[in-house]
Amino acid sequence: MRWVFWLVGVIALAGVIHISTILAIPRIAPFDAWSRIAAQIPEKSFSVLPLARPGEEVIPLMDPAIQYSVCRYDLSEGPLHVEAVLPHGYWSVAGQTRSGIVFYSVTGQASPTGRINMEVRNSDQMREKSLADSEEKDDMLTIEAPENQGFLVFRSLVATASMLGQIEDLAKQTACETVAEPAPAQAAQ
Amino acid sequence: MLLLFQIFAGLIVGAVLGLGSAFLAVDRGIGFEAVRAGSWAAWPRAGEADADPYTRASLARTGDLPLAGGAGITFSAKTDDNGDILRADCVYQLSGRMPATQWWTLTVYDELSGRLISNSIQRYGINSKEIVRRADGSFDIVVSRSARAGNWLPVGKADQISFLVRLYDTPIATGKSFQDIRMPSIQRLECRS
Repeated sequence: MRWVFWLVGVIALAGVIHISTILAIPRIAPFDAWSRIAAQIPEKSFSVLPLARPGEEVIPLMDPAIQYSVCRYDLSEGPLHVEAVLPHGYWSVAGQTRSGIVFYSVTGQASPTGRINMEVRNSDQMREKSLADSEEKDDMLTIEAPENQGFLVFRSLVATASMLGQIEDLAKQTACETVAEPAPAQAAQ
Repeated sequence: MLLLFQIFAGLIVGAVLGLGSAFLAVDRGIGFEAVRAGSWAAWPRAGEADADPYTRASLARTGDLPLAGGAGITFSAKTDDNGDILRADCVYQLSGRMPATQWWTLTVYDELSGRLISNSIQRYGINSKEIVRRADGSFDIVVSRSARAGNWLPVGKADQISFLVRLYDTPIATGKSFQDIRMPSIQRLECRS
């Protein structure tokens, strides 16, 4: 009888440990995408990652046919403004939070002009923007990030070697910077 | 004394079972939301805020960048169609066609590290622009150490390998319709003994 209690106790304990481990991994994993990017790429700059080659991958399971570029941000210092001209062929821009959630993505199919002009804001900055310039019309795409820290991932397909030059040239024209916010008192007037 | 021993033993066994099963679940990629087609599997919710905890844990552990939110979808295979583990010293033939997509890439990785494998001609993948198709749109790709005529993907020195197919700009990812997805078959032709 006592062994039955023991067994039930062990199974219950194993279950609790199993579930808490699974839930904790995204928070404590030392080699998640954010940790690798934060270790190698400066904040608030548009960084073109080297094409994935054996032993030179910034992140595991990178597609060697994709030119990845990353822009790491921290919205507590202000909203992020991104302006980019994107290549013909496949491209996409995705926003990923520090904890690994992809909160936004857009591909070339959805934006046929091949240009991107957007701002990433946290919820407070979203509110400030809607108070400040509700009348203003612009082509700026504003997206809300659920966390202050994160990064944007730009992917361009290098289907043939000749596409690489064009993609690299366009990458040089990309701007990715923190915007200075007007003081909150001013914005409210 | 016996009671104390039982409690202690219970704590140890419970911890080992709990941690061990969690490790296995994450390592094997058990996600409740896997989409399977032959020996290929995809986790279309990976990276989304409401992905199941196992999918989130697997993603945090491998640390790769998920293709999420309509940008595309990634299928991976660790075994051939007979269920045997993919090995660098075997020859494989992938036959069939890809699901509807604007672009696709097929890449060979070292299964254990998730890294590319160095090889004689520095080619690590093949994409929809490079592939030679038959008149009906189907294709064969041979993955092997030694060069082959036709669509050939080289493999260098490694132990276990995995194949990843990424579909970019695919209606599957945007429409989230995963029924009746057909992926290429994976046949093992021969192995070096």
